Amino acid sequence: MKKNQIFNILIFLIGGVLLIFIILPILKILSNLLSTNIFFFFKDSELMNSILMTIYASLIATVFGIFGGIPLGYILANYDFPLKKTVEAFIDIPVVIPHTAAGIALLTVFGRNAVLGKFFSFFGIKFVNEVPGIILAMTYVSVPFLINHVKEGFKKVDKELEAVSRTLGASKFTTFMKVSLPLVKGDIISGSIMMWARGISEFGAIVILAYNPKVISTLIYDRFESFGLRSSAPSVAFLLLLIITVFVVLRVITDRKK
Amino acid sequence: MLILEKIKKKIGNFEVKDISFKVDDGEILSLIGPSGAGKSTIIKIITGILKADGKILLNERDITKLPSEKRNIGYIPQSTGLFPHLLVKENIEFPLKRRKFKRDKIEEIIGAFSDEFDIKNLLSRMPETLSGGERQKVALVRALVYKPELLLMDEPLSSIDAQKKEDYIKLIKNIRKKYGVSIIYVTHNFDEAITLSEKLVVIKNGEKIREGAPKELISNPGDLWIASFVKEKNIFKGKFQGNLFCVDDSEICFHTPFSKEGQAFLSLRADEIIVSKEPLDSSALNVYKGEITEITNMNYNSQISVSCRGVLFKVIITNQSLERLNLKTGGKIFIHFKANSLKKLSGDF
Repeated sequence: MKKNQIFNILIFLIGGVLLIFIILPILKILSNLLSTNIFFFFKDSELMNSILMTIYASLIATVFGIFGGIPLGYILANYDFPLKKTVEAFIDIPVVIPHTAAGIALLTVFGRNAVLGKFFSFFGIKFVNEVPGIILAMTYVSVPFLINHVKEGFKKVDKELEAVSRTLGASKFTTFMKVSLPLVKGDIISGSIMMWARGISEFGAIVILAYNPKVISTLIYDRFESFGLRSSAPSVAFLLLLIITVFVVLRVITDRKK
Repeated sequence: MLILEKIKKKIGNFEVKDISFKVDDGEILSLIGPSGAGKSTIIKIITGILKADGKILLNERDITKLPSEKRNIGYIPQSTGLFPHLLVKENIEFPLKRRKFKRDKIEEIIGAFSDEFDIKNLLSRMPETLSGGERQKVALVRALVYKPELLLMDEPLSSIDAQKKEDYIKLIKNIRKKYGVSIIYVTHNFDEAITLSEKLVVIKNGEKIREGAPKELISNPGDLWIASFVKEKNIFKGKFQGNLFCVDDSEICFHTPFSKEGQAFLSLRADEIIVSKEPLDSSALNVYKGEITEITNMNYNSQISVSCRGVLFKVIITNQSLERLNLKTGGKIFIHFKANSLKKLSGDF
């Protein structure tokens, strides 16, 4: 009994310290809002444009992610092929390497003089210091979250259900659309939220590929560098409040749908 | 009619080897065998989920290379396979929509089937809210609405409580009678297999080891697993010494019609043993004196357990014989059986 109590105290203590470590900076930065008129931020057009552009770019990146991530997640969950482990490791690379390195890697492929950069510029799409560059960087570093979520979702789908669907007269495509996909809806939604949120917070890859127009992370960095902590902290607080609100609302909606 | 010809399939280290059998029109065939024998693999090959070498003919149509959706086979897995994200009604509509039935025709079919199977009150429910029996019924309806030429049922009664099993077995029999559909029924349960099916196919280690009517398998199991499956009451492990078979850990050696050496299993049907108060002068070579250790009354018969020098025999006699001989627990009796009544069993030691 005594040992159990010590165990309980110990895990709550250690877990609690880590939780405080996570929460404390957030609360501290949010406290800046107490001494500021929140409507002041709505009048800061540079900040508002940056926030809206960040949300928009991350949303487009997520749409691209869903479009490609669903088939890729399905393949990884359902097929065995040579070098599958290597492919899975490659998918995780954008998450584990420094994001500035990811930005440089993207620049070598999508830069003004790079192969794909030249190819897309032929259609009027440029990446360096352009919104498509921001979307590209966001997609690159955050799509692994979506792919892995979707892959795990498809792995959980009972293969027997897909088999039954086929015997009932559904083709492979119809089975995918009518059985497999609806069953991983929750995983797709949560993976998309993760990707979208990760895209909003991206800095390293974006700053290399498209410093301008400024997304919120580069704007905060810019203000911090130019005007110091007192100037950048309220903007960060406002951004945090906005993101937390959107995040909570999305979670509530998706949990209800599940 | 379904004909399987020399079906072969290798999956990792496991192999289905040259499986051939036939299911006649309107016949119920039970596919039996120990776990991991390859029954489910065979079912998956028939549905088209797994591709295999060999030939599959369904009503003279070669379906070997056809995709699952073109085979017109109904498949009910052990888990029922109801789609958890669809209502019961949507589940039943699923195969009809795939066949491009018009809305009013779909409503008509669902109406008729839900009346017949008494599931009208379930149509607007989600599968997760149904009991095991209700889920099986819905899965059965879904597999029947499009008139399949063959129905494959993989241990459908495993999730149903004992009381409802009897009703479900009646239901399957009625379906066969009404729709004339051939059925392959996978089961681990002997009672289900003999109550339902006209034919049993025994699969072991990916091979077909026996095929025949339930009665044939009961009278001569031929294999240790089949003997235990058909609830053979007397199975002996021992050693052959010429045509004598000495039961392990006992002082008894049976006279057998076989002449061989080495370890073996023999079976002896409980109703082929004759009991008497005094030794009989008969042609039976095996006569042993023993003590009655237990008497169990069944419907019209009684099962007597007789212990003879370290070997326990189970004997089935009629209740009239039990009364006439005035047999009681602890009493001494003689048991007699012919050498020919002993059957060899193949199997692992």
